[in-house]
Amino acid sequence: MPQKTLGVICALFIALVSDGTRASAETDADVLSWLPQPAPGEDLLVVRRNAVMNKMAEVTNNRVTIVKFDDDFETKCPTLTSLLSSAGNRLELVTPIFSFSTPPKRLSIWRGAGRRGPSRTLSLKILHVDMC
Amino acid sequence: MTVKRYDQDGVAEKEVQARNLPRIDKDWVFKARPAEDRDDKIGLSHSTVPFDNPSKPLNFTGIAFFVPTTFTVYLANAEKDLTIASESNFLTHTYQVEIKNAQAALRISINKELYSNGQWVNAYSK
Repeated sequence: MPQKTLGVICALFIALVSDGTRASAETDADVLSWLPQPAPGEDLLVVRRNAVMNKMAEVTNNRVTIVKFDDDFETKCPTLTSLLSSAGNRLELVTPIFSFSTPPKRLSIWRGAGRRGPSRTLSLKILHVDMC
Repeated sequence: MTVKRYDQDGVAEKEVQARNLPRIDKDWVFKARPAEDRDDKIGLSHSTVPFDNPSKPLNFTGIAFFVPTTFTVYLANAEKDLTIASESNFLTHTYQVEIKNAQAALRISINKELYSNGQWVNAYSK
């Protein structure tokens, strides 16, 4: 993986898990200096997610697709972020599970083969609970 | 969300089977766990789908975002001929993301359900 791309991915996760508090001036200058601060009334996570996504699109020639389940309004619901990779004979999904301890922002994940579909098809169930 | 992998040979397409995966219990019923349990849940969840000897390569690294209104896939480390597209399927009431090159394809099918009165109801909206 190109070093620049790897750096952007690392910055992405750091950016999304950061709660905006500054651990030190050096850390911000090295990693997060390009991230915008939210305007009054804007959600920090949404603003940073959009900034990171724009950066990702910039370095990956806009290789992106978005499936809209409904009207694409900005939401304060939790965002579940996963690294998705395909190589050799396997597909992998790595998901950091963070604590969304402030009610009502909570979510849970169940994984396995679908109970309705073929037994050899991966099925993921992602549940947003008590929220929105 | 379900995932399927295909090898392509010209216009012909062959599904690559995934190896056996544990089933979700057929009697499984959604029950929200106590808040204390959920709040302690920090770590990494790692899911792997091993396929049975795909003959064509399909290599990429990407990032997926799940939120209640959208599902977004970004490809970060993709070869030049790799394409990504999404569409909604009115017939199956699902949304599909396809990542493919001339030799192989990966199709991710997503449907959104709402839990209401003890049942999951498909929330396909268009």
